[in-house]
Formats: sequence, C-alpha cells, structure tokens
Amino acid sequence: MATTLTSAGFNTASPLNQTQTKIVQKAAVIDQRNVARKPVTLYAVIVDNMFATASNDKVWFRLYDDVSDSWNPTNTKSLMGFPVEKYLGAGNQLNGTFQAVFSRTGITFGKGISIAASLGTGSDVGGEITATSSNPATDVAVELVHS
Amino acid sequence: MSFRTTRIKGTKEADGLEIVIPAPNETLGANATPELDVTNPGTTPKLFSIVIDCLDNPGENVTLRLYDKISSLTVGTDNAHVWIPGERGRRTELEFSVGIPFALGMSVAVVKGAGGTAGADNPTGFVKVTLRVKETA
Repeated sequence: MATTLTSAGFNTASPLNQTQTKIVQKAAVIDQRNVARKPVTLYAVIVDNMFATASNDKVWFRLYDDVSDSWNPTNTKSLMGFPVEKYLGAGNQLNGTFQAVFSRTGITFGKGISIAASLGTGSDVGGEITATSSNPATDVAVELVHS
Repeated sequence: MSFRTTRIKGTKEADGLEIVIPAPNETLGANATPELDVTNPGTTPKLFSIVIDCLDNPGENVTLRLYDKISSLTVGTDNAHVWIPGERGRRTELEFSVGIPFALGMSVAVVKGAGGTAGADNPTGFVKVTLRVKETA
C-alpha cells in the first residue's frame, strides 16, 4: 500500500516528527522513524516524486538500518540511497518521476527501517543528508514491500 | 583491478552494457580504489541492475558506491550517486525498473561498512560486482 509523506515530514534539520506524517503499511500505521520496527528483508521500494513541478529538482531517497530513538538522518549512515528524478513535463511522467527498485534476493535490515529524503541540489547531490540539506519541495510517496 | 565489459544484444536492454568488476582471473576484488569511467566515453549510462557477490567475503557487509563522476574522485569524500549494501557471504541482486541516469558517466567503488559518503576501507574478502546499463550517446 502506498502512502504519501508530506515534505515537512522529511525535516532534515531536526528529529522527525512522529505525529506529523504516517506511513500506512497493510493495516498498521507506522511513523517514518520506524517504518519497520523489527529485522526485515526488503524486497521492493517504490518512490514517487510525482508531485514535483518542472521547477523542482530531483530528490535523493535513503533507507536506514536504525530504529533507535537517537536516529537522525543528519548523523546516521544510510544503508542504501538513490535519486528519484524530477517531473519532466506533460506526457513524460514515466520518464523518471518515480523509481521502483526490486530485489529478488532481498536486502536485510537487521534492526528495522527508517527513511528520509532530501532535495538534490548544491552540495547535497547524492550522499548522506547533512545539517544543511533541504526538504523535498513537494510531497513524496513511498511504498515498501518487506518481510 | 580492472573490469570487463560485454555488449548486450537482443535483450530488453538492447544495446546495453554489462560491466563486471573485477575482470576474470583478477586476484583482487572490487574495493575502495575506484574504477573510473566504466562505460564508453561520451555516453551517459542508465543503470538498470546490480549484482553484488560477497560469497567470498564472509567477514563483513560492504557498500557498493556508484558515482556520477569520471575523474578526480575521492572515495570517502565525494557523494555517491547510488549506494547499495552487499551482505556478507551472499549475493545481493537489485533492479531499477526505469533506470537511473548518470549525467557525466559512472565510476565504481566498494567499501567496507555502510554509507553513501564517508568511509574508504577495502573489503577484507573478494567482492565481485556486475552492473547492467544502457548507454545513451
């Protein structure tokens, strides 16, 4: 099941607000700090930058093997990350406004999954989130399939 | 280390490229010394699949880092464009359904541990990486 996360939920300057954004996974409601609160194997992730307008840049999406209370995307190394392209104009929605990643073998998250995203501009093109990273300008939708 | 490329024909990634690091018969696996510009010069590759083989690296997890940069690359300082974990003692396979473009080209490194930026330690064991890309002139 897909859920839209508001850009304010990916607040890179302060700990994520657990009440502000929710991820709906099957019948459970889980906040983005702990997308999965137990060891899991990730088989697919779909990230949709569908709301980005032509003036907005692509975003970088990251997954973390950390569900601790101290987790903050500005001081934790992510396990994996990739870009999701910006809107490319009418009729081009399938040319890069989303990214679907599938793993036949699965990717193990020994503690659980937390997620974060940032706007890919300036020095924050790729790599880890820093204190100066910016939020995505528009909503980003995320769907995860895991054990 | 060096790498081998094979032209792919007649697949859904028609006119694609398979990149294998290291090349066959190499004794040194993929590591923190980057392989620069692994696709053909003058092309912009689009990444579609990754295989990270850590069957002979049972000691620790690694991270495959792909950089959108073809020169003056410093592993541990430069930000990776894409970074994927390779679990110790097993294979990790991944596919990107719409591909991930690299505007400048692609360079590759594998480091011990996690993260998309810091860290430049070589894996302890032998790690092999296979990438499939489609090149655009």
